[in-house]
Amino acid sequence: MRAPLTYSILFHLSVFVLAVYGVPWPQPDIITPSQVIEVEVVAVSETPEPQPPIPEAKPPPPPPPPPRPQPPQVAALQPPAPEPEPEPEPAPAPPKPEAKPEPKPEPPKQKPKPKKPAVKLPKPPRAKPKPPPKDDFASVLRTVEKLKKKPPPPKKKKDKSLDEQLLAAVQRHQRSPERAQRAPLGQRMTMSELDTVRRQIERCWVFPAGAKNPEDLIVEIKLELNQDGTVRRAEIVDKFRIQLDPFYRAAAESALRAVLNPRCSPLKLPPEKYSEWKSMTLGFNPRDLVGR
Amino acid sequence: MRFKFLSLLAALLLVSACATEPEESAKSSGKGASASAPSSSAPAAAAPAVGPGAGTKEDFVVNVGDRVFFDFDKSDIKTDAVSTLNKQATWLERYSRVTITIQGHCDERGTREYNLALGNRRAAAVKDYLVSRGIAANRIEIISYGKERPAVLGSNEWAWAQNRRGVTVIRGGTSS
Amino acid sequence: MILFRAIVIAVLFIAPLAAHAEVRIDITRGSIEPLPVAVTEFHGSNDQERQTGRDVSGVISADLERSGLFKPIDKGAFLQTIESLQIQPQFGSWRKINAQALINGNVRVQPDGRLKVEFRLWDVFAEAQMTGLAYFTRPENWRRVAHIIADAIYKRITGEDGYFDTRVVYVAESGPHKRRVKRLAIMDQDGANLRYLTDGSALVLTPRFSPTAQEITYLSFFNNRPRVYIFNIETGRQELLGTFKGMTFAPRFTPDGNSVLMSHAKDGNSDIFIMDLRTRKARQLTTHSAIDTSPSGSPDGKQVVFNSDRGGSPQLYVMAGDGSNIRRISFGRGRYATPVWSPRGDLIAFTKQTRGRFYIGVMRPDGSGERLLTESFLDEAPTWAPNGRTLMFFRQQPIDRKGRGGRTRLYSIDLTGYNMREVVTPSDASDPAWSSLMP
Repeated sequence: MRAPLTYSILFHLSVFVLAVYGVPWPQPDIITPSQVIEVEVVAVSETPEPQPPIPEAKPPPPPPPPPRPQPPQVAALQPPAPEPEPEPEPAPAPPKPEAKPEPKPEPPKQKPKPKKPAVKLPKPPRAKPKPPPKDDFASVLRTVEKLKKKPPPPKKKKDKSLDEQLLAAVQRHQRSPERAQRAPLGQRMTMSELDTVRRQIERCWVFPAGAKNPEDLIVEIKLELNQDGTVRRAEIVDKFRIQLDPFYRAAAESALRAVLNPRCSPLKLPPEKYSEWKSMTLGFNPRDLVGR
Repeated sequence: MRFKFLSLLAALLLVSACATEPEESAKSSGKGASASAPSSSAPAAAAPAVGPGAGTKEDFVVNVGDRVFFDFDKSDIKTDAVSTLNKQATWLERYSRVTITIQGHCDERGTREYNLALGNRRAAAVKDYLVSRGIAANRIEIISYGKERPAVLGSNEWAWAQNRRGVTVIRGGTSS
Repeated sequence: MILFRAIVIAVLFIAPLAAHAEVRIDITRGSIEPLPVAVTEFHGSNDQERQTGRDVSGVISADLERSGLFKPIDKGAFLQTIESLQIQPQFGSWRKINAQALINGNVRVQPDGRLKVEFRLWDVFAEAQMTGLAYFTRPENWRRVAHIIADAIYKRITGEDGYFDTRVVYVAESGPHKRRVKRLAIMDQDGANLRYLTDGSALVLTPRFSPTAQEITYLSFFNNRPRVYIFNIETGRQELLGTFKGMTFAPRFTPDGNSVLMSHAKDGNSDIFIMDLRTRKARQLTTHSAIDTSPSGSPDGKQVVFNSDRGGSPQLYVMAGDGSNIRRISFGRGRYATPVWSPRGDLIAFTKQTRGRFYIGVMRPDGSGERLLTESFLDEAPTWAPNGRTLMFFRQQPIDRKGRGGRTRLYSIDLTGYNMREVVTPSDASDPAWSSLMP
């Protein structure tokens, strides 16, 4: 860091010049000597992702595609040189110890829900793999699972309009509210039952207020639920966008935090209608959260 | 500058120069005295038997009146300000070496930058009037203080009315 | 094709039976509560490191808390020690105290005397690291590093750039109200490192930061000639801007930092000019006989919003960067002034005056969507944090006839209208201006 020195020299030089040649003409009131501000360049390096969690999770993690969606800022900031040092430090220690600590921590999570709920994010079967992502929002990606089978891809069909119409009819049919009526009346979710869940989740949704164009930040979360109302799986539907848009990612993560919040678990749902709600979609719309 | 300003102010209050609103000028002598505590032991408004020397700054302030007032967000010369400005013009004609600066001021009920512009417009309005009465434009400078230099303290209508003003300040050329 | 149709028809009748009716719930309201976050003291291996670690985490915690979007949890509630955190967070114990995010880190003095500060941000529910960075700096710069870390956390969680590594320039006021002494003052966004740039011998007003350089433009009454100056923070040098006859005022840098917009008053008429700082050539943008002042450029440089009373009372107008295509944007009841374009371009902040009260508000650049955020006897002069989410302004209280009262201080408030708080200054303060993020 020789910036301060440079500044100091410049400053003293300018004082000297002023003393010799006088103050440049338009010189309003006397200025207190400007103290040099250390605008030191801060070397920023990305710390190695916490190796710790990963080791254990090795088996499962490999899949995660996240080829490190580094936040752009970091990339810009990080001067390569300094990095080497930081890494060694954090990495070494953690890895081993973790293995043990982890198992224990798990139980606590489960406590809320004795049985299955143990693992919130990961699939129920594997209890261990939970410690997921090394990567930034691997957490988000990781929890994501491909539950969703998209409706038949209508795109391919360009030839016959009749075919398209048929397809459209199918899709419409599938979506149409009438379908819901197929379920025996007594088994369908009532408005008040849905409303109870809505209010429950609203209390757990902390959205960073003040985002620009909040109307563009609608997040859909696909939920798979256990019979006791705990979340077995939560998946952000638009996985693509969270990689590209930090605002959307922030919104999506806030939605995910809402459904994973222990305070909102279990969801208050009628057990007898489990087949109706065992999977559901939540649409988080921050539209009304901005301003008052 | 500031001391001059203060003394001008004190003098102003003595003669209760605020010819603007009759009611308020009555109030002003009483309240003004309390507002300018340090220098206001002088007897009230009656014109002093022994006046300041003719042609001096004090003469101008006491016997002519150095300021006129404006309505809220306005810069036109009000009818009751005309007589003050006429007297100023007459005085300036008599003492033709005197140069002046006209200050434009505003009340606190506006934003800083807008008030700087408004004060400038008020000062220019006073200058234009004096020029129309035959005073050479090159004897007159103007400056706006916006809401930075209130004459009277207080966040109330009366104080604001006192602060929306154009003040003619003798810059040079007097015998004193 | 036939086969295809057959399939489609089959699907039409069979699929409904197989597919499950999907329950969908739309959440349109959320908690406006700040996010509970645990900011732990940064780990150190000796006293110096530990002290710095405490200081750094204290600054981070205060930054996050002040933003209104985070609620740091009382350290006394923490269940896991700093030492064991170095190994791995026990997420269950952080969930237990309702922390949704966890921040830990450590401080190490390097062999060359520099400081290495490292932090990690954890998503407690997802049990994952959200980000982790290390910074090297000289020990005396620990405070800046803390702000930079707070910015990184803010950005990671909100998606938006932070504004903690910034400074504020303002006018420090002292003395009696009739002869106020005003000095330029500069401080970190959190009030630290305050210093005065002028000595008060000349009246100074309306300082504004350059978005790109360590410079401030402001109005000084030096020699009783109110003119716009530029002050270089690093050299202390001041420079008169232009050779105008008559007052220049209301200066503001354009967002690219290459020019200064300002008003010039001549013979009672104020118009807006733009001066190119490289060529020192000034160009007149407005020619109306009304007052035109308080110009502020849009971030893309294509438009200028300003204050004019050409319609009979002060209102807001927008024009193209060359002065053409002037149109009024404020139509609400009352008087509008001090428009300032948001750094992210989506809003214009302003001061509004109506029925004897003053308000700070925002509207879209086309004038729609007006929202008033504050109200008092006198609120004035909004300035944007560089991320366009928070505003600072000053508030003056009424003065009585004896000169009592009149307290004048800086406040910040969120764009949402929540989270107003005083920005603490040692004396009265006005005309705040926020810097951009430090380079």
